[in-house]
Amino acid sequence: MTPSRFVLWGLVCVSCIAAAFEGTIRVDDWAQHGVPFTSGYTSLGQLIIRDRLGMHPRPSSQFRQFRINSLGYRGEEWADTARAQPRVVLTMGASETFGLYESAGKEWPRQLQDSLTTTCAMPVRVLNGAFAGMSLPTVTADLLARGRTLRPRVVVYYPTPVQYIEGVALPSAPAPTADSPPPPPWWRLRGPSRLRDGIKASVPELVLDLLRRADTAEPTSPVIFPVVPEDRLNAFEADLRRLVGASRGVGAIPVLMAHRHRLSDTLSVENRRWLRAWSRFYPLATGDVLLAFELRAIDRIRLVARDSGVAFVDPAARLSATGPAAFADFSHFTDRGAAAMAGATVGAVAAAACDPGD
Amino acid sequence: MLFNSLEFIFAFLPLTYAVFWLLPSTQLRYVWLTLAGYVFYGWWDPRFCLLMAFSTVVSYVAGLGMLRHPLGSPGRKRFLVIPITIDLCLLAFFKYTNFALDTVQGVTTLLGVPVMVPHLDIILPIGISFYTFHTISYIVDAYRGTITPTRNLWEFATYVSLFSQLVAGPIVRFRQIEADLEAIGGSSRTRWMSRGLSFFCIGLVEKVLIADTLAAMVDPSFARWTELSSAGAWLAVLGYSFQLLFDFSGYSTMAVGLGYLFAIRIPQNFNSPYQALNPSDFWERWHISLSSCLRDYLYIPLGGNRGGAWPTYRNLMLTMLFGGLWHGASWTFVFWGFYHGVLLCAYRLCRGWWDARPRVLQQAAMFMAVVFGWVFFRATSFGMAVAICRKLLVPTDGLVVTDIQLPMVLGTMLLAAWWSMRGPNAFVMEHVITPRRRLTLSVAFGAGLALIVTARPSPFLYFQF
Repeated sequence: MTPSRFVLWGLVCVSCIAAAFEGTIRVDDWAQHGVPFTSGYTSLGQLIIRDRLGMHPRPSSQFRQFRINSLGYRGEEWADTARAQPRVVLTMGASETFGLYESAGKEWPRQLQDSLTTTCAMPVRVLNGAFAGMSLPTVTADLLARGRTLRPRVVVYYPTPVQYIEGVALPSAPAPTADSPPPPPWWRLRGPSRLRDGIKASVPELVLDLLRRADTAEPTSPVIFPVVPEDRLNAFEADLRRLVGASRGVGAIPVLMAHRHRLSDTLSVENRRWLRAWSRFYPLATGDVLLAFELRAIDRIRLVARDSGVAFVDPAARLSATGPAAFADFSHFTDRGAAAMAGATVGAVAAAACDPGD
Repeated sequence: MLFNSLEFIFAFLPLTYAVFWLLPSTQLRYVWLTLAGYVFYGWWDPRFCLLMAFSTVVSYVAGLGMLRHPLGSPGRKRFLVIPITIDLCLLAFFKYTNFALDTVQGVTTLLGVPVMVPHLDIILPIGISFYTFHTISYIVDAYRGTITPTRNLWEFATYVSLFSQLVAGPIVRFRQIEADLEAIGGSSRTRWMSRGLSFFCIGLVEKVLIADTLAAMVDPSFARWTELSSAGAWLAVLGYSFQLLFDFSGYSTMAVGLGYLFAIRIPQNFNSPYQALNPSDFWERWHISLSSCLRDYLYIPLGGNRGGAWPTYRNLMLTMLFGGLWHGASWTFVFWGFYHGVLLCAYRLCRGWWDARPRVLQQAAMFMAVVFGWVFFRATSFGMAVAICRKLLVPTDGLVVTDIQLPMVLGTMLLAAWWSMRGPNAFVMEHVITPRRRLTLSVAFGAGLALIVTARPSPFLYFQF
C-alpha cells in the first residue's frame, strides 16, 4: 500500500469509527432514556435557558436521563395528575436537589414524592425546581416568576452555602431577557463530550488526585478568604430570609434544610481527596474555610428557621446512618443518599402538605 | 481491568503491545508479559497478585521436582499431590468456605439442632478458578509426562499470568501454547495481526453490543422476578441465555484476538453451542476448554465409559456435579450440573431414537433444555428458580421488566438468536483484511467504543466463577 493510500484509508476508517460512535450514542440514548435520535442537547448545561422569566430549565428538553417536563421542572409530566388537583410541593436548590448521579427517578424529590404518596391521604405532587448551579437569589427569583403560578403548598429549600465564597462577587439572579434562545440544532455531536466523560471516568482516582494536587499547588487566583468571611455569611442569611418571605408571599409554607456533605471526617485519606476535589470549585478559599463556612451556614439556617417559625430539617443523622454510600462525590447523592434525604424530609413536608384541615 | 474498558484499549494494550515487540529477546518478552499480567490482575486488587505468585511458584517448583524423578517413581507423586492439595486448599478456602459453613448451618437447622455458624468475610479473588485450573493442568500433565516441565520460571509465569486468558479463560493448557511461548522471541508481529484485531473487534461486538444490551433487560427482570408475567419471564430467561453466551463467548473471542496480537494462539472456547443437536454435542461446543479439562482430568481418571453402562452414568454425573460446583459455591450451581448430567445420561440411554429426529427438532429441543438449565444457573435460590420455571410453563399475569426500550431488546434478541443458532462464529469467519472488512471492523469498533464510554464497562459474567 502506498503512503497516500495508507493515509486515505486511515482517514476513511477514522471517519467510519466516528460515525458509528456518534450513531450508537444516539441509539443508546434513545434505548436507555427515550432521548429522540435527532435531539441536539450535548450537555446538562444546555438544559438551562435565560428568557423573560429569568434563568430556568428549558421546558420539554432532555439530556440523557435528565428530563425536563413541559412546565420546566425535572421529572414526569404534570398533565397526568393535574385533574386530581394535587397539593404541590416545590423542591428548590442546586445540583444536589436536581440530582446528578442518581438513577432516573431516584433523585431525592422523586423519592420524596413516593414517600408522600404513601404517607398522605390526598394527592401530593413534588416538583423538582432545582438545577445545577442555581444560586439562592435565583431560587427566589424563579419562585416568584414561575413557581407562583403553580400555587405551591410547600417550598422545600436545600441550600449550597459555599456558593457565597465561590466568586469575588456575591451570587445574584440573572436578569430576565426578552428573547428565548432556540434549542441546539440536531447536528450537534454528542460524541466528543461523551468521550471526554468516559476518559475522565476511566482515570484511576489516585491519578485524578495527583492531577488535582498539581492543579491546586499553584492557585490561579489568590485566596481571598483565609478565614470564614462574616459578610458572606450575612449575605447568605439575608437572602435566605428573602426566600422565606417570597415563599410566604406565594402562599407556600417554607421548609429549610441543612446542607450536608461527606467530609465530616477530613482525617481519612479518602475524605482528604474529596476535599481537594471540592476545593477546586472554590479557589478563593482553602478547604478548611469551606468546611467551616458550611458549619457556620447551618447555624444561620437554623437561626432563620427559628426566627421565621418555619420547619428546619437536618438530614445529618439519616445520611450518617447510610455512611459514605450516601454520596457519589463530595456532596452529591447516590440512590441511597437520595433515599436518606427523602426519609429525612418527609415528616416535615407531610405535616405541611398533607394537613386535611384546609 | 476489563478488556471492554478505555484504560485497557487505549493505555494498557497499546503500551504492552509496543514494548513487547520492541524487546529483542525471548526472556525479556517473558518478563514483560508477566509484568503486564500482574498489572492487569492487580488493577482489581493488588493483594490478589500475591496469591497468584504463590500458586505460580508452587507449581513451578513441582515441575522442577518432576524433572528430577522419573515417570512412575514415588517421589514424582509427591510433586503431584502436594502442590495440587495446596492449590485446591486455596480455592476451597476462598471460594467454598462460606458455602460449606452455610450448608452446615442449613443442615443442622433442618435436623432441629441449629448451629449458628459465622459467615466469614472472605473476598473471592477474581479468576481464581481459572488460574488454579491452569496450574493443576500443568502439574498433572507434567506428572503424566504429557509435557516436559519448563525450567524457565519466567516462561511459566508468563503462562499462568497471560493477561488475555487470566481471569475468565479459556483454560489454556501449557502444551497448547508451549510451542508459541518458546518461539516468542522470533515470532512475526505482522503474521497474526489482522486476525488478532478482527477477533478482538468481533468479541467486542458480542460483549458490548449484544450481551450488555440484553443485560439492561435481564438484570432488572431477575431483580424483580416476583413481578414478572409469563411473557416477561420468557424474555428474561431467553435474554439471559443469549447474554451469557455472548458475554462469555465475546470474552473468549477477545482473548483469542489478544493472543494473536502477541503471537500466541489460544484455542477455541465456543463453537456455536446453541447449534448443538444433543447434550453431548453441546458440551463439545460450550466452554470447550473447561469441558475438555473435566473430561481429561476427572471423567477419564474416574473410569470414563470403560466400565459399562452404570459406571459411565456415575462418572458422568460426578463430573457434571463437579463442573456445576466449579461454576459457583451454591447448591443451584450443583443442581445445574446435576441437570446437565441427567441430560447427558438420558441422551446416552436413547441416543438412537434422538438422533433419528429431524435436525431442526433436535436443535430446538436441545436449546430449550439448555434454557431451562440457565434458570437454575442464574437464580439465587431454588425457590426463585422454581417460581420462574412455573411462570415459563403456566400463563401468569404480571410485568415485562426492562430498563431500555422494548424494540431494542427484541431487535437485539433476534440478532443474537440468528447469530447463535444460524450464524458463523469467529473461528469460521474470514479474517483477511479486505477493504470492505476494514470498514465493517471500523464501524464495529466505533459502535463498541460508544457503548463503553456511554455506560461504565460492565464486568464479564464469568469473572465470578
